Amino acid sequence: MSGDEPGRSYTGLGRTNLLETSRRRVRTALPPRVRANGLIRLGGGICGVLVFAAIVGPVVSPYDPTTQALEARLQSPSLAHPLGTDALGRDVATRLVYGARISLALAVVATGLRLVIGTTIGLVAATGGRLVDAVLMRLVDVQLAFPGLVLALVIAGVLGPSLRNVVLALSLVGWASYARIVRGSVLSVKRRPYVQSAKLYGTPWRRLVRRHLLPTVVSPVAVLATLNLGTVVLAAAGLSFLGLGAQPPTAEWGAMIDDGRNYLRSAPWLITAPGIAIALTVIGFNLLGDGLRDVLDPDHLEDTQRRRT
Amino acid sequence: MGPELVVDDLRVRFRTRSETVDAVDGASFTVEPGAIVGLVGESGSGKSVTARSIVRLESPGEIVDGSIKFDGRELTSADDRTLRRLRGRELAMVFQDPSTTLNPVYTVGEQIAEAIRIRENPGRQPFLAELAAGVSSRLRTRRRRSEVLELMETVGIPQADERIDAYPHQFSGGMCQRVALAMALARRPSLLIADEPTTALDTTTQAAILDRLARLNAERGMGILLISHDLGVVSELCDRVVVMYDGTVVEYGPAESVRSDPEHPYTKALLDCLPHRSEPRSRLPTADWPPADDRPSRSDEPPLQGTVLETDRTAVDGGTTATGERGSPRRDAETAAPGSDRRVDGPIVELEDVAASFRQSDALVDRLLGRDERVPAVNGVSLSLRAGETVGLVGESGCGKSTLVRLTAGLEETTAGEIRLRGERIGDADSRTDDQLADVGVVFQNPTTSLNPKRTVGQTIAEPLFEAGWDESRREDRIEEVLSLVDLPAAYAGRYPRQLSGGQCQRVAIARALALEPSVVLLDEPTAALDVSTQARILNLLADLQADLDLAYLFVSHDLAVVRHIADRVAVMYLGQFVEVGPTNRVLSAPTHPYTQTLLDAIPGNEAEECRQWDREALAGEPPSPTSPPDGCAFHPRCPVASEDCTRVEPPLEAVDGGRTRCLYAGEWRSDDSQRSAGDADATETQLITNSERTEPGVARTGRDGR
Repeated sequence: MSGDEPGRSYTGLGRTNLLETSRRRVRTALPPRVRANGLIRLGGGICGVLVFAAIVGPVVSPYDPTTQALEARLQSPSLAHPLGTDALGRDVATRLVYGARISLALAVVATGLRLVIGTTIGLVAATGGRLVDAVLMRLVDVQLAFPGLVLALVIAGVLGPSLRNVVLALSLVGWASYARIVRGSVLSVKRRPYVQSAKLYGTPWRRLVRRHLLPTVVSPVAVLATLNLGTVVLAAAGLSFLGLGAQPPTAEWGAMIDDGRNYLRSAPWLITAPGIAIALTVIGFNLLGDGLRDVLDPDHLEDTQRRRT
Repeated sequence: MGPELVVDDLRVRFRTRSETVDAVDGASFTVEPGAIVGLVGESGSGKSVTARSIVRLESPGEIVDGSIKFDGRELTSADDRTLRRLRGRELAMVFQDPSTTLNPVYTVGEQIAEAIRIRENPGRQPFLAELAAGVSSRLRTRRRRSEVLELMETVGIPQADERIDAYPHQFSGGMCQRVALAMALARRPSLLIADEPTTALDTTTQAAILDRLARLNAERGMGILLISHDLGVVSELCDRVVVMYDGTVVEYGPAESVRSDPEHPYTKALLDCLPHRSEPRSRLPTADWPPADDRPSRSDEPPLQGTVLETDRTAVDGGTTATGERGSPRRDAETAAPGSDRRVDGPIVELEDVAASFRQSDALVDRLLGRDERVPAVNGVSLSLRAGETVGLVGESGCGKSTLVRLTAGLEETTAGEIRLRGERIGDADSRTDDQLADVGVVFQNPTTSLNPKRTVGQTIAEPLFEAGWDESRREDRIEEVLSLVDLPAAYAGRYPRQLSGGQCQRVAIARALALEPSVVLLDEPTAALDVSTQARILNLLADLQADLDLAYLFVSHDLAVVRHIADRVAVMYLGQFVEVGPTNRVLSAPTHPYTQTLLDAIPGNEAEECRQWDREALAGEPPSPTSPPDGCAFHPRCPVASEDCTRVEPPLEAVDGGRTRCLYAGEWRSDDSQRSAGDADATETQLITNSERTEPGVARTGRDGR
């Protein structure tokens, strides 16, 4: 999704003004209430730790995630292996941080694809006339009528097991809610006088969309996308657990749980570690999304304020 | 006689994250039993907060000091039970926006019946009863049907028997407000608090509702606290008037004396800026009290605008100041927009037999099945507009006046007839050339929604220039120029709409419309959402701009006083057609169509009350549905002078007395009437003469004849 290019100014009121606006933009981008919001702090903190672990963990870890060390298999947590080792003697902590890379990257890519597909379809539905709208929205209805994970399962099953296909499957099932939200927001501003004025001085469609229609959908879409990241991590892990996603020996959380399943009684750390990681990721993104909604959605904010007084 | 309400030194405070605001800062007044008291002030004066505090709905503000005594009981410290009983039986409130006051999921009958239940049993409902609310409210409505019907008739809802089961969305705004009133009356309150009950309504509906309130007050001895920003409304109805400014009461006294002899300069200023108290086309005084430096900073409107900049302007017009280049680019050949060399005599915009209709159903299935019924919105309208001329377009909501503007602007397509701009036929916005687009500017009603909240004032004004291909430095110059045209400091270019007041937003919208130097500006109720003093400033600004730039205005309004003030010619619309067109003076002082007279009668606080032709109840009806217009003359179901013929013959638009009128008895009904009361006609005539005498010499007034 393309927003306004930062720094480009149509007013042309000189460089100082441009600086001023961009500085103001930065200031308003992170107003005090974003930083003061507890949900954002907690959720952001969790997600931050995850991202940090995903980036730094593999670098500092002395182990390789896939090299087998059969002499050290199924060791319980110790100083050398903080989270123990699995049935093939691989360090669980190392595999966990490598898995974080995969899960987060996959979540970002799948959510990004959902967002682009959904926003485009929503935008076209809202601006493209009644017939187009009707057809696209029925498509959305069909998509929403299917249970998402089952549909993803079918798609991933048909395409064959691989991480790329998981991303594809998850992007093809999740865009409908974006389409709905975007269509709703665009419809609500489409007839606003300022959009009509823009039409009256001959603004071409492209610019109309970019300047007047898209900015209004940024907030709700950002909230939805953040909440979605957690869901996608969970769904991807689920597909891998079922054997449709990451293939051994790739370190992936869902696959790790699948591997550890057989040693549930003797080595419970094998599934607790990735399980807790998945749970934390989902909780982290959900808290962050809720916090963002509090800050970005004015109506919702009013409610919370009222509750406080 | 009912109980008395005493408000004494009330202070209400709002705490926001950054500051605390004393919205009400020591207000004191009394509502005697059975009296009608008006509470007047501009937005932000604290009048609504005061009213809400009385029924203890002041949250999120808090009452920090003072007392509200009703019937001897202190309300500021009353507990929930007392409050519930009081709200259920004694104090009733009617809010401003009728469309959001009613619950959309219950029928109006159910909602009125619920109000009756609350009167009979103001306590908390048992939990189980609350669970069964949906079912029980239907049953209750059936049981109390006669009572509900009676209430609906009391507030003037015709065919109550059929409408009792209708939902709020099936009602017009005026009818919804009547239902809200019926709900308030169901509690048989001894005091009714009405918070701007007619602000969102048409003048005719407003008149009918105000009459209804007055009658209820007389019949039931019910006290009324009427909150309004319109001194006209208040002074017409009320016994006493409280004028609020910035949270304090600045004047409090009997309505007549406040109106005729205001003591406080602010009251005086408020009265002066009502357009119907000034000569047409004159400069309206603006409420600039207190003087600039004293004016509290929380009022956004820069206080300088009315006074200082006006003198500035005079100097500029004389061409004597350093800022004299202000209007010059128009004359400057190099920077001249494509518009300036196209000056031609004759009309700039012509509408000929224009018609437009809308699909009744959006459903795809209906369209595929060919059930494609269309509702006419505008029907056979012809009009021409010359440079420097203002044509006022008046009528009730739904009469098609906004559609006409949208057609002319190119936002809708005509289904018949043609619109010509400088002699060339034009279609909708997509098919117009850049020059044609630049030649027509549009200003919409609601200043806050007509600006993109995410773009600065400068970016907003720059957009049309950017589309027209101006380069950056020229854009920059032009922004400064148009900002000064609308009397805003150049520094405002960096501000966002949320940092501006309503009046300033409207100025920015006007600036954007003027950016490409149009020759026609379409103004769709540009002042309807503004306070009276802001309205006065905007009207002054529009008049100045017209004089400077030789603009043609098509000015839509439902407020005849505003139209009388600004327009050279008036077109009165009813059900998509013009019923009367002619010079403003003539049409608004001696109308030849009964509908125009109806509209005139409805102006609140009209000084010449004795000139009223008919009782307002006569016009209480609503316009018929455009889907099934009545046979014959469209106005005959509401017309006080309609005859047998009117129900059969559709009158043509005929030339009468300097204008054109669509009435079988054009003017005749009036002459009959004036024979009956010769005094009226005399008064009207004198008014007409003084008006035309006082018209400034030298002001070119074209197009006085009908077309």
